Amino acid sequence: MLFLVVLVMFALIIIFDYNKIKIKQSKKQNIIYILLTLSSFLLLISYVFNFKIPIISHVLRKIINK
Amino acid sequence: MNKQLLTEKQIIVLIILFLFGSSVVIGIDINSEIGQDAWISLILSFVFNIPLVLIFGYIINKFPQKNIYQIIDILFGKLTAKILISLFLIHILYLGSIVLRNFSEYVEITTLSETPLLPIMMSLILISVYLSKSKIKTLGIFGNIVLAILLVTISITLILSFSIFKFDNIKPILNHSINSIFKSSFKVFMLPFSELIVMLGIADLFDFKNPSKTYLKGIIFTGIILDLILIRNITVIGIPLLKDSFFASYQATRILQLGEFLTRVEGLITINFVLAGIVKITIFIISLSKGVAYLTKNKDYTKTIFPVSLLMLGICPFLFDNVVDLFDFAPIFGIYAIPIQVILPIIIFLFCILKKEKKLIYLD
Repeated sequence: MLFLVVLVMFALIIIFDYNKIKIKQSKKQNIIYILLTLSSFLLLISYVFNFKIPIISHVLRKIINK
Repeated sequence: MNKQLLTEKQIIVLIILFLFGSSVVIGIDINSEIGQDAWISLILSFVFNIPLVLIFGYIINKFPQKNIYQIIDILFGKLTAKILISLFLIHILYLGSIVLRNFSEYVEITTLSETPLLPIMMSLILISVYLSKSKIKTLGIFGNIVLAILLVTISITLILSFSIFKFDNIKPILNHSINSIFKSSFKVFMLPFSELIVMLGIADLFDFKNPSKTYLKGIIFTGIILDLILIRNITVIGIPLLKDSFFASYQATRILQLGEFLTRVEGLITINFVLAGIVKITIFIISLSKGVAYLTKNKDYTKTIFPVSLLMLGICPFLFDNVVDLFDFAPIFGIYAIPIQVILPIIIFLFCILKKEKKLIYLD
């Protein structure tokens, strides 16, 4: 499953974002986009390995109930 | 007419598909609470939506071809604008993830029961990313085709269900208290109708003369279609069965058939939901990527499409435990959504009026 996730993600990056290499963006912009991409990778990998991340709906429910 | 902008007709089509996409969720919520009076509640929720839509129209009219991020920046100054835009972006990222999860759950439950959620979510996001990366006109044309398919399938299911309509199922009318009907319609108004604010994020791609009229046309047409669908569901399978089903339309069309020639009509409903869902997720992605591009001062929003779509996908599995949790959470999310989906547009509207009184010119 993890292999599939990684494979699809890299395929997506190559298909859709190859032009990012050609067009120059500022360093700050690149760092933000890389961070966004990495964090989503981490989330997906933690899902595949069944790491427990607090479920958002439960947290919100607790906040609203208070 | 600018060829890179959406025409009035295309905007109406996108509004219809955007709202229709969420009917997967609303079907269950109103049926579970007020039974056969659900169709009245649906009409009321559209009435609630009219003032909000007029506010959206007013804002777009004041700032033609500007999106909500640019408008907030013009009205509130840099620091406040950044905070407001960030809050708005977090909200629509979360909302978009919920929508993606809804459709993935729907596909998993009705069609691909042996497939894990992740590949389904990936496939949906893949198509949406491709659509978002294409020019906005592509989305407009895709929307036209999807609406045509949608109308044909709805007509087929309505015609096929005529013979098994039981109008006794919608009686007694107004059996529930006005209070509970209003309460239910407010929930439907919050999710999905006030979600239309997401479309303000791509308002710079709109080309229309009378925004309020366009929005009104869109919601009235959607209201008629959704009410017809709801009445069909109630009259075909009745309230007790509807209460037990997560996806009412799918359940209602399962029993439809034309002799032994045409059976399994429910497949058409799945096609409807998935196609409308793709359009809806694409609108979320474009709106979100425009916001992130605006915050990071990138003029080309297509560069941010991929990171934001991935993040949407990453959040998706952690939203709910299962589909029951999803439907339990929907009404609670309505409360959480009020500040962004209702209060924020009202504040923007008030600021527009105040600034107008001060005779400030905000357009170049």
